[in-house]
Amino acid sequence: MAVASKTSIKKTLAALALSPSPDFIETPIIKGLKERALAYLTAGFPVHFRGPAGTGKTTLALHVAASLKRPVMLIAGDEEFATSDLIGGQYGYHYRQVDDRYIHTVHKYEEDATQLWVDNRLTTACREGFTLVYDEFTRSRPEANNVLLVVLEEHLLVLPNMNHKDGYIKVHPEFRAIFTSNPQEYAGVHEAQDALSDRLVTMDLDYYDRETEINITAARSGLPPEEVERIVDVVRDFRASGEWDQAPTMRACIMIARVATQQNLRLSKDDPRFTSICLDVLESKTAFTSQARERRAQQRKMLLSLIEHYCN
Amino acid sequence: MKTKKFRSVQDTIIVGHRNRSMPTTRKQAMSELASLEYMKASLERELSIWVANQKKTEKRLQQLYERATLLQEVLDGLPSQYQPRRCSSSGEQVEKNDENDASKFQVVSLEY
Repeated sequence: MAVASKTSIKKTLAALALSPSPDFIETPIIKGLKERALAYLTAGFPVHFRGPAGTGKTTLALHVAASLKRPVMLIAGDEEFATSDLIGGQYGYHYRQVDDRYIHTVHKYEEDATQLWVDNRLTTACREGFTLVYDEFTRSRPEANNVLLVVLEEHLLVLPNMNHKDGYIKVHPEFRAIFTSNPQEYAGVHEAQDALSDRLVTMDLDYYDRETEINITAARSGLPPEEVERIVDVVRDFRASGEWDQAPTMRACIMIARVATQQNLRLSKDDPRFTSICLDVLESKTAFTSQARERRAQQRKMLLSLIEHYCN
Repeated sequence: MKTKKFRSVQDTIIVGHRNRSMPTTRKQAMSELASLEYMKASLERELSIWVANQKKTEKRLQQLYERATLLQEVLDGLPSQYQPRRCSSSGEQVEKNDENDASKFQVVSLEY
């Protein structure tokens, strides 16, 4: 009897082992946020970091996930996401051929192909007790996240495949979920279901305080804090002015500081290259239209005065 | 007809001795006594081996009970979802993956 079998697809999921980078710093505020989030997670509640871009939601989520000391499954929300992108689906086939000639007068030939179920990240995390970090989950359409409702409340993962013998998976007791999202007014963001939001402990993040921004920018750029504070002050005053379409964040501070470090620029109004870099990074926060030329000119004037004030 | 099975040569000799008539001369008696002495030593060796084997088996059985108790305790502490899930929808036997987590999952290091 000859038996031939072939699997047409073999997928191995990757799990993340997180560790802080050398320039990651944990200020008292970040530590406080982490400890609160860990308290909720330890009690069995999923945590949701919500806040505008550049407030460190994803980094904080990864930091908290790393503190749980479990492998991490990272998912980034997407408009095209479907339930199968979370739980898995029937991908590929398992072929089996049997050629039975045990009795020479009888020739029996069988051939069948069965679909293969392949777990996706949520299923793996639920089954193995990994930490799920669902970044920007409101970028997925709400119906794609429906499967999470039962997972988070009843601790049961319901697989929609009817043929599947194990259609129900009890969620591992060490499974934890961390979500991040932008506010609803952001482009490409969907409104989260009330039922899902109700299951999450939402922690609203805002821009960090001055000290934290200085420390993080200094760590990420390599500049001493006493020099970095000039850049941070310019960006924070610009943010406070409200004369922008997209709020300047700490990323702008890091961009300016890192380029200045690499180019050996003096953080001074007298260095035209430094001024140009500040204008490039910060002026891009305002939409450029032909009607807004005057506004843009006023904005440039304000930025130059800020640079002159802080970087003398 | 039911026949008795002899397990060893010693059994044959013992039956032979039992059915034998009483010796009439001193020489016959001495000869049989010598044979019995030899048998006695052999049977005593066999008995000591059996006793040793019995002790060894009892010890192994005890170890087995201890291990079984330990496994039962571990099993009681584990939730039922630890049971490996078949990943085929047809009910077909699927290769059991006994490898540990590290080999089941490709671990990617990420610094944040």
